[in-house]
Amino acid sequence: MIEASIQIWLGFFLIILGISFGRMGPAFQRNKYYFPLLILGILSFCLQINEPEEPELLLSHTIEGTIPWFFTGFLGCYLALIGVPTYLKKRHPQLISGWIIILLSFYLYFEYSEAVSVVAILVSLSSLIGIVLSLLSFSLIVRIVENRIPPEDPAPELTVSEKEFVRATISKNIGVGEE
Amino acid sequence: MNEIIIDVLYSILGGFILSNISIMVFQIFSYHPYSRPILPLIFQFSTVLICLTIIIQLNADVMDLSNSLRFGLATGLADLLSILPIFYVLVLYYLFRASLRSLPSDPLLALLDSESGLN
Repeated sequence: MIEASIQIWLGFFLIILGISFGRMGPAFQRNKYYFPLLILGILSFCLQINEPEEPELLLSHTIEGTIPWFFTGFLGCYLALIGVPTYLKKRHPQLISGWIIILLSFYLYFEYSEAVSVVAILVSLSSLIGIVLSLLSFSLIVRIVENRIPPEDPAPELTVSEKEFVRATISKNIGVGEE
Repeated sequence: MNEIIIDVLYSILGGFILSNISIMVFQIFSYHPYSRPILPLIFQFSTVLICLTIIIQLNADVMDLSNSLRFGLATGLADLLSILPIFYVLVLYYLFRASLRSLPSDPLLALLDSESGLN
């Protein structure tokens, strides 16, 4: 059905849109609607009511095989990451439960994903060549565009109010002057 | 032409189209005064158009540009999802190493702990 195909592409573009809104501009000017858009996109992309027509049919089957283990694995990795001693001490409950859920994701992978041949995996891996080529060409064109821009004049010295703002921000962050 | 070679070609074109379309959408919707997306967008649009034309030439079932775009994106996404388990195993390897690691002794953190203990 064409509606199912539209739903998949709507979901895909909403996911990209959500990521774009979440990463746009300076950190304090990012769009606040990125998270709802991302969730809406993921739901639209993953939850299909009807079976789409070709060429989205194969994609739809791949999504169906990926969803169970991917989201379980994501949750497991999230919990395990909270538990690992990167900055804080090891948190055993999160770490152990995370790894149990990760093991569950392996079970779900073998249960729901279709068996794929080595040739099929190698063919799928070749999509990475296309992705790398596109990233390289994009980097090249951005470099050309950036090199064409003449360098700007040196920035003027900070005003008194700007200096005061910087001083206040740093003092607040290092905890000086709060007592 | 050999069927596998054709499939590999579809995969490469699919990955190229998927990546370019994603970056194009990203550039348009994350626009800010310091970005200069015009030239990259024109370049990417042209390269995607070339890829779509190649797919139309190769695949007899694909007749027009919109179908070619759907085919390219669907192939790219399906291939990416198919190889996701490989990256998942890689991520798990590093996660496993991080799980076994113990927190390195940091004199500054130890000082912070002892000071908070005093307070």
